Amino acid sequence: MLNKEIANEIIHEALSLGADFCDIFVEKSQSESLTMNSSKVKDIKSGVDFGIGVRLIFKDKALYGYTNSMDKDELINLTRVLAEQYKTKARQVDPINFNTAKIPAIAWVADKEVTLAEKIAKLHEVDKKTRAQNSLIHQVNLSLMLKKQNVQIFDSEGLYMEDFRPYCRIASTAIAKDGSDQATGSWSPGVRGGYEFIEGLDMDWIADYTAKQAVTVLRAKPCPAGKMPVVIDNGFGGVIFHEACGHSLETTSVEKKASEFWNKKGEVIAHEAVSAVDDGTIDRLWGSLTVDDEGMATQKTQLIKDGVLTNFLCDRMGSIKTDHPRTGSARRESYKYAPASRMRNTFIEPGKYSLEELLSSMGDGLYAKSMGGGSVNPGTGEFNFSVQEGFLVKDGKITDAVKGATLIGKGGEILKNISMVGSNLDFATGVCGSVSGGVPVTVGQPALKVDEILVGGKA
Amino acid sequence: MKTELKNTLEKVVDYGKQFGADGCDAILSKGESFSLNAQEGAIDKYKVSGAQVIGVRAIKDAKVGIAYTESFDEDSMKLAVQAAIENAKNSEVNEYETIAVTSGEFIHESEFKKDDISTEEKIDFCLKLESEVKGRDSRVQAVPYNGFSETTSSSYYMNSNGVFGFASEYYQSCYTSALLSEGGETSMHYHGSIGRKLKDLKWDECVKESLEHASEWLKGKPLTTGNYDVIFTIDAFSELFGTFSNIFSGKGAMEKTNPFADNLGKKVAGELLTITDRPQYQDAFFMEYFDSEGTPHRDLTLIEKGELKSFYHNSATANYFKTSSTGHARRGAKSALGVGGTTRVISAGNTSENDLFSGEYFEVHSLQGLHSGANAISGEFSFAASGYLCRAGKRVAPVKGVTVSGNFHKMLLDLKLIGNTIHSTHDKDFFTPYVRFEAMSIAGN
Repeated sequence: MLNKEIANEIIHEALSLGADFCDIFVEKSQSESLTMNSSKVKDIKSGVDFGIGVRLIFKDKALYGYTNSMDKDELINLTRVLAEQYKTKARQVDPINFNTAKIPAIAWVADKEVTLAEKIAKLHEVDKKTRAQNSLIHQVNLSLMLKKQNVQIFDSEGLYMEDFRPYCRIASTAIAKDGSDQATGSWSPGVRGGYEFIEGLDMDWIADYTAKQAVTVLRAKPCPAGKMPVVIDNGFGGVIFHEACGHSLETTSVEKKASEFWNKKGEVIAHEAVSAVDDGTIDRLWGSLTVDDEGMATQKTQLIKDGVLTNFLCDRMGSIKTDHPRTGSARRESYKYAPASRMRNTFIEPGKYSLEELLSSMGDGLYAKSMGGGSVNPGTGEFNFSVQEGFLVKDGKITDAVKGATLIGKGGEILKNISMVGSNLDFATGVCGSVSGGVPVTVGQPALKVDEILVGGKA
Repeated sequence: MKTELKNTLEKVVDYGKQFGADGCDAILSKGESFSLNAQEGAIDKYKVSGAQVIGVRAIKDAKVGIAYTESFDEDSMKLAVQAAIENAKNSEVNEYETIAVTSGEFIHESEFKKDDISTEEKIDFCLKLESEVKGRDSRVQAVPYNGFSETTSSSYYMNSNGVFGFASEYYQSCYTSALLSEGGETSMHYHGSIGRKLKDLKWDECVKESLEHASEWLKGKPLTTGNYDVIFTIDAFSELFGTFSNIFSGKGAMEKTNPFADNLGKKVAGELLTITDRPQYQDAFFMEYFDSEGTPHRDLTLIEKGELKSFYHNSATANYFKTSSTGHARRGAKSALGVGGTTRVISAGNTSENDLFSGEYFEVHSLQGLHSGANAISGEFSFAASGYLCRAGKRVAPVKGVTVSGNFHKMLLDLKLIGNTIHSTHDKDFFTPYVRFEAMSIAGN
């Protein structure tokens, strides 16, 4: 990793050239992944990512560069190249006295070391159990990913921080086939932690869940198209809030006015039944942090309270440009990206209704038991996301399975159309791609009812 | 080509032999980039980067292991090779994957040299991408996405049989966007351009296209739910096609995730459809000469007159199917051996564009949710879409807030109307006539 003397020289150079602020992000990550297909291990891969990112801020302009080299001269040269556009007359700057910042009390460990053979045996176990669920399961794809990210963060305000970030995730996809028809069912839990997470998983449940979902979708009829009420169940259903609203609350969108909510703080933007948070502090959750990628302790941020927009997710640049307070949510995929305000564990807080109460109140509509992914244009709020496993509801009762449904709309509209919120809060993991790359995030919600949304399907 | 990097790669392959691999190959990728973004009349983000990585694939006792490192010091390289061999030892026997190519040297230095322009010129260009959008329409609320980038990349390949390959690239790109707001409605569109020199980048087209469509869709309304004939723009069709391109994957066929695995030699599309993969297609922006195993690229017919003729093969999938590699191995320094296409070309059909664009149809201009709204195995999809309702080739109403749904595999089979003139995507990576799909499901009002 980078020694403090070199870090000091880089920052000293940046400030001497007129930068108002400089930070250095050093990353060394060890990754390991295994994939299994056709009941055989296909690929075992491991690697080391190493690089250093240097950021200079001149007033409200950010300049960023990165390199794989730890060579002092190359890093100083990178700093000079970055400063070239905004540098001022050389000025006298005192050396930085780095104060080693204390890591917040939450400390994750990932000290469970197991052999590759044990990991392979675990994948075989899931494969065998999934295939045993139903004769229509003709393929199972599995992957296991482990990553240990070590980072150092230095900045010109004297911050020095070391952080260790372990991640572990398994992904299972069952493919059901009948004649030429095929369908998939999948589940991919993850944790900010180590392999002990895998040992704690109920592989029988995962096998049952993925196989059942694949067979249900295989037998499903095309979903009818049109506007209708929809009940979206818990867990990964939270992708609806993540896409429809969360991205628009990141200051990376707000600072450019590329958010439908950029000037709505303090205003009602959702139904009063909706309260939502982005909480980086929850123990071991996939999107949790100790400190963010600017070295700030993470926090729980109340985004919406009883329908009123209360906070944005804000990083240093977002704060400079918008005056909103930083929220410990500056994140990046790796040293190859400058940090940006990003979601962590984002969810709608639980309400009081049972799933049955939500369904029985809707009459006819769609029950989205499991959601796929989606995307949003934060500027207009237009979102789309797919329903992985859906069912028609007639007179408040779940009936036929349907496939090919997509939900589209505008974030601001759907937030006002969420009229009932259930009590069964649950979480699911994902990787969110945006301006600073793909970062681990958790989405979550209890079941909720949307009074009307456009469902894409068969006309 | 840098001799010291070739020597580094040679050293890695030698370590593989020294440490007991039965065979190995290595890829070294090196890239430099420079990018700018503008906001409110000033450069907002300025990024320079240089990165390199070596990826090793080792074979030991007919088992395969992969490892990579971004540190090029001796110890890191040795550790990467040892890790690849260790990973191989723990893997399962894979009798199909070998270090297959036994001889050859392929060197393709980019003919395009770094553009001799100053940083100030690049900055002025980037600022123009923002200011021109703002200056041309008072309804512009923001230009949230805009930028200029310049990329130099090089890739080195070497295997334990002595095969060596080198290829380099240099290009620039730019894009801008227009977020318009009027009467409580908002609309956004963006457009990009790619080129070899700053003067080749079509900044004016980026500005005009962004403003034109954002402005039209500000007035856009959903269609009434129903069935409509659909014609995708070339870029939208390329995106749709790319989403389902696993139908050509030999690896997918081997792993039973390609829905066309059992369809070789069978009719999978309308008889007018012929698709070829053309690595050195004369009008394409990028040309490719050898694949990630050191096999020379060659043209490949994928579908001919509606019949599936071939999958993309690397040496492993070719061994599995008892055929030859088609020269479509794909492997990055950090990834496992796979397959992938180059420039796909759909042959011209027999319908004049006058006939193709006759009557009423929905011109799909923009698709959203491609990564989530499609099932690549079943072929089912449902995407959010924007575009225009057209009559007799004229746009009569802007459309937004609809979904277009269907089954891609069935669309191919039902295909009857293929235009007689080939067009390209803006990035010149996909060439096709316009194609008309009949009676697709559109959900709107």
